[in-house]
Amino acid sequence: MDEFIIPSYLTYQEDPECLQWYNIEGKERINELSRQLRTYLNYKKASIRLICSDSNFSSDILKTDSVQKWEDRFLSILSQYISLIKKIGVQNERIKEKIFHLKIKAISQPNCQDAILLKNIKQVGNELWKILHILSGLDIHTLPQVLKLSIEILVHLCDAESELNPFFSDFYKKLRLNYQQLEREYKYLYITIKNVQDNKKNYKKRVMIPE
Amino acid sequence: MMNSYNKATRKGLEGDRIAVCPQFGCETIERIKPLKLGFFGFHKFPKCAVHKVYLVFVDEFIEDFLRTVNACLFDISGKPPQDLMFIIRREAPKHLISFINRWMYCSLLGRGAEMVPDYMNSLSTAYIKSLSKRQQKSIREQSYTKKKYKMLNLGIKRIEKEYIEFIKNLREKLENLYDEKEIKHLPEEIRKLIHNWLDKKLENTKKNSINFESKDHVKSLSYIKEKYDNILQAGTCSLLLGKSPSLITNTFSIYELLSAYNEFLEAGLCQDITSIDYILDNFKKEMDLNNKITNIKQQYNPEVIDNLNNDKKTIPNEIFSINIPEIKIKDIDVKTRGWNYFRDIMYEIYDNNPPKIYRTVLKISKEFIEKYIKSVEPSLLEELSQTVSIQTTFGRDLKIRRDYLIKENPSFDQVLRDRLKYGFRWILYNLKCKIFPFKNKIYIGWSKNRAEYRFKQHIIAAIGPHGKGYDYVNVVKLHKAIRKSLEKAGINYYEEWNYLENKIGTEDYESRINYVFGVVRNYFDIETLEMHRNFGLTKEREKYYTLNYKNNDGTIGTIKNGLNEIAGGGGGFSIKLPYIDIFAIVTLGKLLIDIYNTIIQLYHINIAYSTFSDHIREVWESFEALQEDALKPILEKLIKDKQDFKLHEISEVLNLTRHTLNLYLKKWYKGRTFSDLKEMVKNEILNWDNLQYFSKHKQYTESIEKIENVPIWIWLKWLVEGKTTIEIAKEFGLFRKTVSKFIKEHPQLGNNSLSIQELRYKLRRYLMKNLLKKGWNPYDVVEKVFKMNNTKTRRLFKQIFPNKSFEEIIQEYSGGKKQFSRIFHKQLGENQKRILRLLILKGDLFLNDINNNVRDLSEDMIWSAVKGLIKRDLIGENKVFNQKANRITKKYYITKEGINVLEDHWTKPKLS
Repeated sequence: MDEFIIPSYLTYQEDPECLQWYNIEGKERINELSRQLRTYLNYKKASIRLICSDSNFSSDILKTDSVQKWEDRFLSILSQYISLIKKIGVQNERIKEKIFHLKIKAISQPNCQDAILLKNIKQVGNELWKILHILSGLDIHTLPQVLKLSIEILVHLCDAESELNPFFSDFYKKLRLNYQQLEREYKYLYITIKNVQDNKKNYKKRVMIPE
Repeated sequence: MMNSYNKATRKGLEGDRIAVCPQFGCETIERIKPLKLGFFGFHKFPKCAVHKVYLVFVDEFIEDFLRTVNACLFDISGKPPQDLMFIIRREAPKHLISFINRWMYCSLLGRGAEMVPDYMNSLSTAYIKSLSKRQQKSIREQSYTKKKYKMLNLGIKRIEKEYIEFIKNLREKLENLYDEKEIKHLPEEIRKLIHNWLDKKLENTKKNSINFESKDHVKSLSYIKEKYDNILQAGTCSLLLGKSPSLITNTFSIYELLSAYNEFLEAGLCQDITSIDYILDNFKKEMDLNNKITNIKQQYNPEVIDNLNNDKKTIPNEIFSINIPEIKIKDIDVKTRGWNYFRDIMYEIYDNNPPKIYRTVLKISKEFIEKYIKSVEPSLLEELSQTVSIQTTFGRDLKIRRDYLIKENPSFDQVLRDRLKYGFRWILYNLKCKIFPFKNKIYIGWSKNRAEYRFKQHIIAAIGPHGKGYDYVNVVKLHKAIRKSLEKAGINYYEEWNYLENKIGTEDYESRINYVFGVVRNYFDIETLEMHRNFGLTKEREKYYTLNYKNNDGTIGTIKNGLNEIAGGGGGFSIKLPYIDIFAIVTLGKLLIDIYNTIIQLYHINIAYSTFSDHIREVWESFEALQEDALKPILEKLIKDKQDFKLHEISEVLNLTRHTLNLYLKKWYKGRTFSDLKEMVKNEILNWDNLQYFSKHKQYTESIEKIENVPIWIWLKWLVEGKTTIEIAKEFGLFRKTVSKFIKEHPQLGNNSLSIQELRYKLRRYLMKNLLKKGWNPYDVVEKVFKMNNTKTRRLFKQIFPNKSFEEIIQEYSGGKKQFSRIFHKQLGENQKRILRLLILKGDLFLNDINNNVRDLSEDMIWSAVKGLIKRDLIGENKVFNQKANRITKKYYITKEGINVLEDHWTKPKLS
């Protein structure tokens, strides 16, 4: 018995447009996996540093320039991505399902609006991935809200990627679950941090009243 | 260095494969080509030029690499250090749980998980780089179909698969290691404690740094592991304090760490940390010992302890008088007379000069029992010489199997919330009155329900005409206190009862009782003291508390100085059993029945065997558990002994067969047999406490799981196709017997009633019948369904239908259609081809279509040709079509149904 399940090449022959997107070199493919793994561990580490570093409980966190720059970039690309996602009508359901339907339409009519939309989602998604990889390597733990947002969007990106990238489908499915776990953890950590910060804010310095 | 897999070989390679040096960190990577014609060529087993070791295939290497990574990341040493937990427990018990959760949260990255992607990246990049451009193209284009690139593509797929497995494993393990809700903010004082601990740890680490070059480093692997684990713990700790765990990366490279961990793993020193509950349980056990002492000091009467300590000196406890085994004494009345009896037998057999091993066993056993008794608390030593019911308490309190939990235990509150889940069915509680004249008086009681519920029952009893009278004078003290508190709240208990009496069974009753309870509750403190699994022990502990509880005013006990009327407890066993002696006999490897026979004779006890074993179970949970506690340490010492005792010697002295002994060892040492343990002793691995499942055993268990997961239809397919149990066993790395047993016992297969052969015949019979009914050709069934050579068809028929002939079966199931026509396949013999060609030419069929090339004929075309011949009636009945053809083969007969082949064992078909 062959223990490797090899996706049939024939399955994708009808889809030249999509094939072109994921038809990357083997080297790049493997590098992508280690990059994703590194990013995941970086986000995990950021969440640990956020909860463990005492300075992070201070509300006056110093942002470095580079973080600030990438934060702005991230937010602008994120808004583009969200608008694209909204265009394809994602509301309560998973992105994956919508992309799947979109792909079917795009295959039947390669030059239709849906195909272009799909291509855009892929491109903007890639850009977003790139920024998220970069942000993970910076001191993102100094920005609890951006960190929270990043983890949330990573769950959706993995979902989308599992559909857009059939060769990595399983990998992204599993990675999505890992990010979901991280998201759940972070939810509790964030509450703790907020509570501590609120307590610090509410603490008023006592003033000596002159007699 | 990795060493658990085979060297890369050029023999039998189907295509190019990539191999690396198994030395971590070595950059040697090579593309290995198959030998020409399968055997020509040099360097059949390529070696690394740098390390002079055989190369290994990347895809095999990466699997082991990740196994080592997992062993390192999730090793038991990743749990919070015991000493730090004790400090936190002592200084800030409230934050202990949060601290443990936090530690485990940091453990993954604190132990160097970050380094994994880098290594994987470099490995996979090197993999691609070592390929030719054409091969890279094949991977890019996913050309799996090309055979020569198949292995390369599979290699890449394997790496991907390992990535997927790794992240999956990561998630599943992390899920159990901490509770995210418990990861709370640690206050500054705790951080300081941790900081101090880390500073000390780092100082120690510097002092005891591992110097691999020094000669005195020739120490055991477990010693080295401890050193590594210390550094990894420090790394986790620094991350916990919000710092980068750079300590690890600065101290050693990932290659060094993983090489070391691989060795630890191979030596069986690694143990997976499974869940946070495991950590808490372990810590609880450690705490139990400490708590016990604290508990006695705080709650029990110090005078009692002093007395007990004095008594210890005066108790004529014969266990202390076990003499050196060489000296034979006839101490008839001592409580270890069973042990002495067996000792005497050993001496008598050898005329008072037994072999060394006998003396060693007796010596080890004696030392062990003495040490064991000395470890028993002073309060319990008294019970050695007391009445039997107390002695049973002693048995239980030997810590053989602790079955109660005290308030000081860190997980007490957690368990209390759901105690039934953990098997604690009974509780001990105390009620403390807060009003005069009963102020600070204590009542101790036991209950199956919650303390509050029990207190409610006390209240009902106090206000009702129950118990010891309705008047205030004769009422028990607790009821007096309850009535007093009611009075204080302005409630007349007499009127209250009159009201309640008419409302029994209604909602009003419940709500009124709750109201009264709420009122009385304000005047009492309710507290749960202990939780118990054993009812007998619950009552005894209650008795102990009522007699020895130290009140706030310095008085002792809750009878005279509290709200209890009588000492609780009572009960216990009415039969005398010398538990210490039983324990001592087990250390000599005796079985339960032998112990029973000896005890009843030597102590003149009239007791049934079943009752005796019940008592053993009551005290030690099971005889197996008792053996683990008593016999295991003796066996361990014997195996580790410098005199190098052999298995047969130990087996003889303990009167157990070698097989039984190995079974015990396998159970206690996670799958290791005597020889495995001896090997460990040779390698100076002497810490056998936290052994991981032995790798062979682990693989075996995994393989068993694998065959258990094989769907039933696959099993049926294998059986029908005649796959042998040896083939299946090889595929799963199991013994043939295991596979046979599995099939025989499987409820849907053998179901304990059919042998494998019978099952195979049954299945084939069923299929043959049904397929024949559907018009199949029996030869096709044999060839295509049973995957056998169809020449064996008739022989097979004899096996599966032993009582009927081939023709009868065909007649019966194929409805007399006689579809015997053979299908000619691609592997046609030359003669067959010639005949066919003649047939076709004679019939003037397909001449143009088939281009006279029989080799290209497909099955369908041949059938068309044959059918065409029949249609045109070119072949006469009973007539050999072509003399020439017949002369050549003399085996081919053509009938209306088609072509039949006559074979030696096949009788000529009757032609009409």
